[in-house]
Amino acid sequence: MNTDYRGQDCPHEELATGWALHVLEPAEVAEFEAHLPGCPRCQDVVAATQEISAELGRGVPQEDPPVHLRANLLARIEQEPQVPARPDGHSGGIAEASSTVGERQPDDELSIRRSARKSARPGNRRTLLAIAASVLAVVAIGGLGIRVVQLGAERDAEAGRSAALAKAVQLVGDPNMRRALIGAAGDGHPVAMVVAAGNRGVVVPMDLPANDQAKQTYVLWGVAGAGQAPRALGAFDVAGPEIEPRTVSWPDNAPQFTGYAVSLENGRAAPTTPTTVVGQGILE
Amino acid sequence: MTDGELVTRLAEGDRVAFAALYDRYCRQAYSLAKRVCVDTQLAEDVVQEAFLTLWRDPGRYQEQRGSVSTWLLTVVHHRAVDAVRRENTQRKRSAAQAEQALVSEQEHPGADIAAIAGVLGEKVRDALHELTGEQREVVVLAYYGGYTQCEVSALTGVPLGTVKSRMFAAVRRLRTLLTGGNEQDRDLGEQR
Repeated sequence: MNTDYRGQDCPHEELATGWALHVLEPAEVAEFEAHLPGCPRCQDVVAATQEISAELGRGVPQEDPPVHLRANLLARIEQEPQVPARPDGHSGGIAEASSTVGERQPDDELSIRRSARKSARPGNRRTLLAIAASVLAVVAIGGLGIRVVQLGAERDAEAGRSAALAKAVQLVGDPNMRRALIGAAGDGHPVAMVVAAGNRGVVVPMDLPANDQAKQTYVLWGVAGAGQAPRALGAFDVAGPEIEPRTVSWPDNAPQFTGYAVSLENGRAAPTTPTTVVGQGILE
Repeated sequence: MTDGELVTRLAEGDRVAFAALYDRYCRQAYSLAKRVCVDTQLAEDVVQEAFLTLWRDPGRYQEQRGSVSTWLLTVVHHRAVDAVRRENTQRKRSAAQAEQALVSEQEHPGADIAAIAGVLGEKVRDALHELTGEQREVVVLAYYGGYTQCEVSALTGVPLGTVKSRMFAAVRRLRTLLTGGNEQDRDLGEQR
């Protein structure tokens, strides 16, 4: 992107502007909020955009609020507990108080559901990727068993989960986390995502057909490099179209994998070598 | 007493400090909420929730990231937009006003400026006038109309990527026009 900003540009700056103006779709919000805590550049863009946003706000015709609003508000705070002061340093800047982030009021949940209803579409790869990336960030580091995104009819449930994600993504961030997008063996379209940190990993099915859980299993394989046999890391099932993270782990003495593969196996145990590889990818 | 000092006191449970902040910014907050929501009751709810957010968790405001008024107006705007997105009828009404002004521009050059001039302060009006018509369109629809970028794209028939880049360019231009900002110095010039 060609900008006249000085210093290091970030490819997320357009998203940063949209996020600060509250004009993104839920999947984009999740994607950006996963990125924001680690990017001082985008934090600056957010802060600068919010200055402009506030200026636009100050430009509207001014009128006094009704007197009872003040009285109501002062009465309300008597019933509202305050959270203890937190240490400085959490990122997100001004927008941490926005209704897109943090604890939501019931009304906020409703608004998210409505906006989500108009956004994520089945089969939208970008939506899947953004949400899956967020899920991975949460699950791999926080160990949070978040069940995410029923693509299809459950829009409200999806929106609620997206909101939970947005909240959870804020709370995690591991510089050692690495991801691999698993591309289909045929056309390379994303069918799963793997994230690993240390000897723990998570696989998130994104577009894998359900397996017969009585006769088949999916297996995640670690690939250490050319000429080395892949290593079975764990078996998992895919019950349906939902994205549900599966946790796998391996011994500390395992090699440093450079990529991963997913296979579909007959039987309920991982074989020594993969039979039918359905997708593979290298670590980002 | 500065805004920052009031927030510090508020965080310690000081009701007087809270009331002082309300008195200082309630007019700006309510005016913005009213402009976006149109509906009076909705605007009141938005303002109340925004100030309650500050009361419940004053730690969400970070002084080093901007002024209290910017923070508060950001919260108000986001909540107003959320509210108006729930109230599609109201939204269509308010957005229709903005759209009408924008559509009229094509028929009568400058007509949108005349329309905006009727409701916006001189500083913002002049800044919007400096934008291209396309940039002004996305800013007005998104900020005052409460539309997402995807919806702006659908409304205008402009590709989403173009909407995003126009909005980004518009904000960068407005930064120079409204805050005199450059890309290195972020002097907010507000009470801290």
